[in-house]
Amino acid sequence: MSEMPSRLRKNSPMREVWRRLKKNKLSMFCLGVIIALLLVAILGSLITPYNYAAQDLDNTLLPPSFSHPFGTDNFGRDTFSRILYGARYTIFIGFFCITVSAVIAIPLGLIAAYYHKLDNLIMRAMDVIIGMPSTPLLLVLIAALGIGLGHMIIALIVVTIPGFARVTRSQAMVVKNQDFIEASVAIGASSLRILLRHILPNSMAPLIIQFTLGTGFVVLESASLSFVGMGVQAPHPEWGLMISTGRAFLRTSWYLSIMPGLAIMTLTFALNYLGDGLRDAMDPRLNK
Amino acid sequence: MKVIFRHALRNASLPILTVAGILICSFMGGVVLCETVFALPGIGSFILEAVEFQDYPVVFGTVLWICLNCVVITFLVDMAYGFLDPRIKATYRIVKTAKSNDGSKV
Repeated sequence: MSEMPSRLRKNSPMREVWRRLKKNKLSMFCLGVIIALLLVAILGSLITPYNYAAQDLDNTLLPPSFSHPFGTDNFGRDTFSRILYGARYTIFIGFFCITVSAVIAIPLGLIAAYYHKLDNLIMRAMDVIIGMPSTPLLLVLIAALGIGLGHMIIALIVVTIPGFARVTRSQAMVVKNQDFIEASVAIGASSLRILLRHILPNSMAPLIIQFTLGTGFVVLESASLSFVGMGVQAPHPEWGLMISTGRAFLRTSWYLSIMPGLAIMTLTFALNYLGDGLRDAMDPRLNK
Repeated sequence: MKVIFRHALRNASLPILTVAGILICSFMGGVVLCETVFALPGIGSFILEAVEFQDYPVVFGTVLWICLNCVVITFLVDMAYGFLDPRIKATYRIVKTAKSNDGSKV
C-alpha cells in the first residue's frame, strides 16, 4: 500500500530498480565500496602517502606500522601506496574490457536474434569461444599476440564477448515475440529502429547484470594473468603481480601477498554482490 | 534410506552432474595457476613455459588437449543423463523410430 504515492508519480523503470536496490543494504554497501575504489583509481598518486616507486633501502620488509599501514616490500616501497595506485590498473582493465566487449557483443547478439539466417553463424562462432575453458584460451591468445598489457586486454575482450552476445540474444528473442514489436512492424518502422528503439532498451536489465558480473570476472582473470607474468610487467604495482612478487617472502612478510589479495577479493566480492542485488531488483519475481 | 539413495539421489543427481561437468572443465584452466603456486611440473606450468619462450606448437597442442578433455567430459555428462533418467533415454528412442519410419537411415 505504501507504494501507491510513488506509483502515481511518473516512474521510469530505471528509477523503480534504483528504489528497490536502495532497500538492499548489502548491495548499497558494495556500490559504495566500488565507488570508493573508483575514486582511489582516479585520484591515484594524489592521495597515496608515498610515491609508488620510491625505494627506501634502509626500511625493507618492515611489518605493518602507523607510518606504513601495510608494511614495505623488499625494496622498501610502501605496500599501501602501491595498492592504492594499483587500483588504477585493475579497475581500468576491468571496466575498459567489459565496455569494449559490450559494444562489440550487443550488436552481434541483436543481429543474431533478429535475423534468422545469421543466427547460426554468429552463435556457433560464439560457441567455439565458450567451449574452451577461459584461462587456456587467454593464454593461447597471449601466446599468439605476445606478452603485454595491451595484448592481455585484447585477449580479455575476446573471452568476454560470447557471454554478452548470448545474454543479449536470449533476451532479445523474448522481447522480439511480444505484441508491441509486431505493432511497430505493422506501423512500418524500419528494422534498425525496431532494434535500437524497442528491442535494445527492453532487454537492458540482464545486460546491466552481465556488465557488473563480467567486470568481476575480468578483474579476477587479469589479476591471475598478471600473477603468472602474462599481463602487467614488473615495476608497475598491479595487484596480481604484487601477489606473485610477494610470494617469495610469504613466510617472513605475509602482508606483501595478503594485502593485494584482499584488495582483489574486496573488489570482486563487491562487484558480484552488486550484480546479485541488481538481479533481485530488476527481476522481483525471483525474490518470492 | 533406500528411498533417499535410490530414488531421491538419482533424480537429484542430474543438476549436480551438469555443474560438476562445467566445474571440471574450468579446473582444467585453473590448473595453470595451481601449478604455478605449488611449483608442480604439470600441463599448466608446461603451457606457461611455452608461452614465455614463444613455443607456439607446444601451446596450441596442450590447449587442444585440454579442450579435447573438456569435450569428452561434456559428452560423458550427456551420456550419464540417459543412464540416470530413463525419460531422457526414451526421447532418444522416439527420435530413432520416427526416423526409421520415414525410411531414412538410422
